[in-house]
Amino acid sequence: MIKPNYESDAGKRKEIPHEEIGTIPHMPFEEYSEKLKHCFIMKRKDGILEARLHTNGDSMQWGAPAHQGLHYFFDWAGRDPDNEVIILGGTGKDFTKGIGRLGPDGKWLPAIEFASDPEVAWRMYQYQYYDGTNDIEGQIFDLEVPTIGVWNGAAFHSEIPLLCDITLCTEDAWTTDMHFRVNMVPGDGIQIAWRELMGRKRFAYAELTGEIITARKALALGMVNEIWPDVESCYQRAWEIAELIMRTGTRVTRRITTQILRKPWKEDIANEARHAFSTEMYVTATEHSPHDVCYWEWAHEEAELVRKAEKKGKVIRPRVNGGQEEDEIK
Amino acid sequence: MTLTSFVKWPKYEEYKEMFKEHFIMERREDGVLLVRMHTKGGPQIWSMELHRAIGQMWRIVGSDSEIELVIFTGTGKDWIIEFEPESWKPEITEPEYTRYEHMFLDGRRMLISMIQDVEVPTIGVINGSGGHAELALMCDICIMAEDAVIADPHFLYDIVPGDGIHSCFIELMGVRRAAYAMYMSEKITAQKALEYGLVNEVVPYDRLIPRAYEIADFIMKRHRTIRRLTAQVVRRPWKKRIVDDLDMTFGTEMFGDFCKNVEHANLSARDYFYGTGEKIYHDEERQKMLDEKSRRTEKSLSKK
Repeated sequence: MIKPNYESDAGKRKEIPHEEIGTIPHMPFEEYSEKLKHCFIMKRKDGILEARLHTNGDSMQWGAPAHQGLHYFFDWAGRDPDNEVIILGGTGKDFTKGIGRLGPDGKWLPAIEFASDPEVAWRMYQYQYYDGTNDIEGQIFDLEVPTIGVWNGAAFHSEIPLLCDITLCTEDAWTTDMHFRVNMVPGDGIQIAWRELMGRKRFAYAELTGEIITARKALALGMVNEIWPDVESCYQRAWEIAELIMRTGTRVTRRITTQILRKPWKEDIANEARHAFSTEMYVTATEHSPHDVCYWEWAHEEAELVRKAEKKGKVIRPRVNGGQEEDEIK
Repeated sequence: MTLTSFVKWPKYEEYKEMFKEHFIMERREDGVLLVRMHTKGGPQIWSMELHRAIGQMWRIVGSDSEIELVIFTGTGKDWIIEFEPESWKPEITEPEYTRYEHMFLDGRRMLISMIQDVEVPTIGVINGSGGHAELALMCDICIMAEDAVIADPHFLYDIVPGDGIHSCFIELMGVRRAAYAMYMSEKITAQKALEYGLVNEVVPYDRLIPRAYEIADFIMKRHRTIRRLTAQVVRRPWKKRIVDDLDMTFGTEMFGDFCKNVEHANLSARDYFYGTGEKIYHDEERQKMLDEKSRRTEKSLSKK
């Protein structure tokens, strides 16, 4: 039982009036939550900001809107001094639903922004590298406050919840790194999140074999902190933790503790984020990547088998045309 | 009698012959090897063939336990200044294949082999002007001809400097000077290279090889094991540097080549180093076409 040290100090931030010293106000919550409403559902109470990634109110479709939206979110929400803890996660059944966009009529549209053929190679810089590197850097460098990630259901781009300081996931959460599976190099930040959290040996195996990482496995490997039955209980728990953080430390202690916790991520990102990303882009330009949605659907089928086996205490090892249950140690 | 025998590495006479199109090699009795780049007997012309041969040479020479020190140099008054258009043509017809097999792979191996596969001291001798000075700057010791000028013209050609010269500049002259040298394609005279700590000595052209041998003689007086172990102490920063910023910055350079149309076959640095610097492409018209092609995509971006 943790006895709170303080009442929440949300909203009690000191400030000299802007007019007096010639500074300008930050973009208010009302403005950026409106600007980003196409990819985030945001709410804020007592300094705790909850931002749920979504597409049309349901699970997120990955594409330029989310790529750019995250970049701007970290800029704007990160600069808002009234945010004291940020909860960042997905919406609906899954964290990521697929790749593409939804048109005004709700119809699925292909992610043309991710094309890499010679005539449109510049798009790789504008829509992948530029937003992508800033997403990763923004999450770690531009947010000053503690972050809690919510990973719900199936996820690719799992680095988003995983790079939060604390991560919760749903009981049915699972992921697999799609990069190598679709003939791409894992360089967009996922490699940092996975390698640092699960260790390099496990990461090598997971990346090269397309291993399905279930919630339980993620907990055992130290990738997440807690598992909750569903998305709402995850968010509920995230709010509880956020309040605990608010009442344990004062504003400056919370914010500076965050910087201490995040130093290893900062090193990794400074060390490799930019060049690993562009190396992924280079190989995307040279090698054909089958981006068809069936790869993600196949991963769902595998995940279902793996999760079923896991409940029986069995494993399913990654194999071409595999799927057989077996004992972990024969 | 054992069941199997030791596998023999290629001997000096054998690899001297193997590499003769790219290097003229002279081995002294004491194991000091002089490796001189050339093309048809004259100054070396940058080709995919030479590019690959440099890495192969370091690997094979590095495997010869009778070699005790390597002096690496070029021919005439050029360093790397001319590109052989015919050799680089595959970059135009098969950019994906070429930029991996001949650029990313050979380009990295060229330096990795020199640093990782060689156990003995190395002396780089910059005999003339040009780019790709990392070939000599990454040697343990480096001397330079007094009338030579080096520069990194990657940026001038709309290429990201990520293939090793950036490592040398950052490691040897510091971030501030390196930034300037890369953005401005700064021409660095021998005197300036000495001042920046890029090279150890500035030597009259005619005295270069005799001076390299004098340095070699001094080193060769020491015990064999000590020479070889000292080389490892001296080289450790390069090993770290290569791990730190060669593989992935090379990828960044290649990524840039796909975003902006680049054809190595069309590059000519002679006028940049010796003339007005106005004519840096073999075929100006073709370059205009390539630039225009790249600009079109930028325009279509700004319209959006």
